[in-house]
Amino acid sequence: MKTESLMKCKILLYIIIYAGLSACTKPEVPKDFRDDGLTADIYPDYADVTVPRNIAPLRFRIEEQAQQFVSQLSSGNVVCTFQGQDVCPSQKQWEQLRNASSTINVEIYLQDKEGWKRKKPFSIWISADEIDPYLAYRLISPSYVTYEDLTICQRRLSDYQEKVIYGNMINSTEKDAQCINCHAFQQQNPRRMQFHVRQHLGGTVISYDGQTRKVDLKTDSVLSAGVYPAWHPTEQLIAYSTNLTTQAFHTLDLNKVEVQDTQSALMLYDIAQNKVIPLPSDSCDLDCFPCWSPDGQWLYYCSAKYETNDSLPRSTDILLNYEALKYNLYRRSFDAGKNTFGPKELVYDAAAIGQSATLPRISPDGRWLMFTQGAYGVFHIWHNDADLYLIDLQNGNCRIAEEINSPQVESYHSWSSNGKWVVFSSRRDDGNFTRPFFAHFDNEGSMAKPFELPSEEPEYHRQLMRSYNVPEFIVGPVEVSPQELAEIIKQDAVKSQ
Amino acid sequence: MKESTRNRLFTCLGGLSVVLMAIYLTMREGDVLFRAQELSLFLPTRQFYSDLCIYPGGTLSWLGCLATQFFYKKTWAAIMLCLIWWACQGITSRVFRLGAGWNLLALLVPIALMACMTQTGYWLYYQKLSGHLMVPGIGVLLSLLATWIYRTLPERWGLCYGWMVIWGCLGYPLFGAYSFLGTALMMWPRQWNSRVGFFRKAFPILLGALLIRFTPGFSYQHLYSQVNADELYRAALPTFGLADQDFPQYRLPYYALFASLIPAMLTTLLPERKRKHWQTGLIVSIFCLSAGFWGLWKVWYADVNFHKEVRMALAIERQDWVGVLRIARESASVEPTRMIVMNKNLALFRLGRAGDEMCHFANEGAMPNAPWIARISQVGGRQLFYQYGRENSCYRWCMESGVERGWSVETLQLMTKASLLAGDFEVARKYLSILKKTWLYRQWAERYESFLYQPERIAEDEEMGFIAHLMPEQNRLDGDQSVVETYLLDSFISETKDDTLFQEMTLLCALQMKDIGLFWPRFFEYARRHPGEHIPTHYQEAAYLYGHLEPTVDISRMPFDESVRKSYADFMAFNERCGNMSLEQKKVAFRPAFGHTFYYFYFLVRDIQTL
Repeated sequence: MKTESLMKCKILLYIIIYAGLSACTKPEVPKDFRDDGLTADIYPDYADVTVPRNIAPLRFRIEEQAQQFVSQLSSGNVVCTFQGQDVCPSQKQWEQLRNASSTINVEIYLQDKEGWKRKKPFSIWISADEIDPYLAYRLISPSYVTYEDLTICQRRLSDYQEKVIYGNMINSTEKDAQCINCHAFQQQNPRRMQFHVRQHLGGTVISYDGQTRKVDLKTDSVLSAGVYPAWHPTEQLIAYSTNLTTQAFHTLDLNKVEVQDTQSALMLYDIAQNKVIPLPSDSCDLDCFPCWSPDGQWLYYCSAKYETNDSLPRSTDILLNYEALKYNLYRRSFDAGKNTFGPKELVYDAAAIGQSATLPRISPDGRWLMFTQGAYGVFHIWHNDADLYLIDLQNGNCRIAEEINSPQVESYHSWSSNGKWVVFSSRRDDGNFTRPFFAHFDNEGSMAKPFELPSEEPEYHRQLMRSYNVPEFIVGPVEVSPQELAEIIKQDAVKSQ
Repeated sequence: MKESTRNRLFTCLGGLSVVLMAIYLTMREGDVLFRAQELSLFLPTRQFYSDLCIYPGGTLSWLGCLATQFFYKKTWAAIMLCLIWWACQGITSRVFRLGAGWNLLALLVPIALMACMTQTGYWLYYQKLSGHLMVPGIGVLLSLLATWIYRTLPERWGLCYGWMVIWGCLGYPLFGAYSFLGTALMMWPRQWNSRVGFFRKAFPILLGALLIRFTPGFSYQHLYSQVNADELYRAALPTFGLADQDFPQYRLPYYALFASLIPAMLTTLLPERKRKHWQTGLIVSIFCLSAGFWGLWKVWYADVNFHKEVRMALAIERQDWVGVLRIARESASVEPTRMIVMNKNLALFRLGRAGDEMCHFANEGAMPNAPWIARISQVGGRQLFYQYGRENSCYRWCMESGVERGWSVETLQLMTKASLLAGDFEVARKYLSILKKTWLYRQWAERYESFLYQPERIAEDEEMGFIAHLMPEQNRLDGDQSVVETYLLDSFISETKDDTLFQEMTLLCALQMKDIGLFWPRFFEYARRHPGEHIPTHYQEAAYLYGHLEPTVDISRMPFDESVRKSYADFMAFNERCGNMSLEQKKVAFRPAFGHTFYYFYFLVRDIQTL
């Protein structure tokens, strides 16, 4: 009896040792294989992308049918081999690979009934240009009316760490729900941040060099409280659009929902004076999405002219003619000493070519203006035809940013502090859920193939049922905690003048 | 009888009771449990677990989702419930050292757990806590288990107090408010009248109180970023509030659940001599169990319409349209809800019998038996939108539901099918990739995945092919204002499509809207598309009636069935005889002879409330 038990124990031990050794066995690249000649289907698509040195390891899944998978990532003398469908280099392996040379070569081998085959190798190019260390975004389900769990998050780009800056549930109850949106930073500075809280305990939270307060930006002189923000690059000023919106649903179109402004205008908020200054505009004008030039002397924005048919309420009229709304890009000069604006100047006439341009964002060197263009309207995140365009402000030439666009939506975009990287939101994965993509930008205005925000698990974004909204670079983490923000938000908002 | 034999006998009696309760529940509520499983989701992935763990009690919620899957089959459900309830009962007996007779008091826990499940009703569609049906059972079981471990550990070196601290600190993030139950049970002295000193009695109480007081606050500050400080002590408990309405009556079974341990706890106050007196134990137990079963019977949600709706939903998923009609005919004395009426109309249309039989069923609509307005959009609207070819609306309401109450198998399935029909294949692929990760719906996902590679097969599919006929041809902007039926009627009436099924649907909508102007063009179009065919009875009745009410159309040469002419004449004659009756009196008087006619529907079915 005792011997039998001992024997059983031995067998169990052998099994454990064998299993342990098998797990530790380094996978090997097959010696005999045939070249397939076709690029492997991988998700996310990291083939031939350019990435910054300080990005987290790019992990991907091989989307091919095979009995076995072996992949090899090599760079200089460093070689890492992986077995299985998921290729997940560790942080250490990734550091070794990116330090060894400026190119990581990727070979994928698949075993099928006929033996091993090698897919067409591809490369990952390592750029010496660093990217800002953090990305801030809002995670929101692409719903239409309801919302539940909304979070403004910050993601460390050198690894996978994601932290919540503020989540609405911390101050929400079943009875008193709260929405949060429109986070923005002054020159990617995490100590100078603002975001809006809507409905329960509503107001605009402004954090400036360690001082955080909640203000009420709605005054009698403006349409609404501030909506889309733009921090002045140097002054304690934030330009906002003020908007009254309406939405309706497509019965058949895959765009699904249409959001339109029925009225909109611009205003300036002086943080130090706690003062709201409305910008003059025509009542027919729909001004939106302000953006400062890096020198702070110009305010860019988009605007559409819409004259209402008097027989209908304006919201109904606009909804019935939603395809007629075409936004152009304009700018106004700004005198920081007097807080005054000059007359509006046309920058880009999208309407003339039957298009609608929104979301102007200017590169830190002031030369390039990137914007989103679609056939109509202002809410391009729901327009499948929306693409990114680029204007060279030195000569006024405009071109479509073909190298980064896709057949699906490309919309919100933002420049890194050094102007070498662009982050933009795209629905190219599935047409419905927005993901952040990054593209390298060179001095001549051309961009490399973009890559999706890396995830710890390759299929993370497939399972994630929320969209990344308003991706913005920040040069460090936001230090104020969600609990501290929650306490500030519980206080009454300071009424602006 | 020997004491040990008696103990065994009572233990077996307790176990048998649990088995009978589980079998009874699964037999009686099997369809509701299956529906609960469909309205839940479990993915064996790290991401799924992490998503739930952003709130305290996330692990318990995860276990609840895991267990809810087993409602897929009645046998699995019965076995699982037996095991959990039996374990709760057994551990309660051990923790409080309940002897023969007294140990039946432990049955109060399964009874309370059963009440938490059977009271659910329409909360099935509104509850936000993931895995809510199984969370109480697992939560209480784990708390009892923790208490049992505490009781088995010696006091030497403070081992049991060490365990109490571990449970108190880790239990809250893992199991939410249920950890307080475990801590509270540990605080309760093992034996009140034992000769241990005051400090040894007081210390666990003090320690437990400190743990309950400070662990949630510490967790709020350091572990969580999305938890409302005011709700820390309600973590992993269901919410019974909707917007500004609160329904505290639904919390009663939960109070009862926590209170169900009190009788067992109180036995520890008794002297050992009395604790061994099994006759007293049996009498006390019978009294307590009677109260428990009475409470269970009182909270059990046995609404006929709710159960019919649940069964209809399952029949629609199986494309069992005859089954839908069979369910619609059941319990004819109970006025059906609009959801049932709409499901019935859908089934008749799918079977091609709506024109002949639409008025053969009750066509009014009772409000759902819930203390709030249970809207069709929340209960079954997304399925109706899908079935009626309003795929964007179906997708939208699935999204709204998923966002507000968590993702479920049903929403993912409907979003997949709606996306396939709408031609949005990439997003369908996303949902299929999620469903493929489930244990029970992988095959379903693989079946529908094949449509991604051969989209031309969608038109050939029995279910989706039919629905494609009902999809609009032209896009337009609109909104349903959360009223499903009115939206469906309005949208079909305002659209046109060169499709015979679509055209008949618009005719049926005109009939339901009782609009003469909308009826005639659609009636003529129907006749044009069905030359030489017999015109269904209700269409003839409507034409005959409208021809008499507003003689803008000459009906004199239309070949009406003799039965149609006769029933109209009889109806009008009877109406003259009942001239002074109220509407309600007329309904009763007319129903036997004319309840199946369009005339009855037109004149006597009024003020339909559809929400």
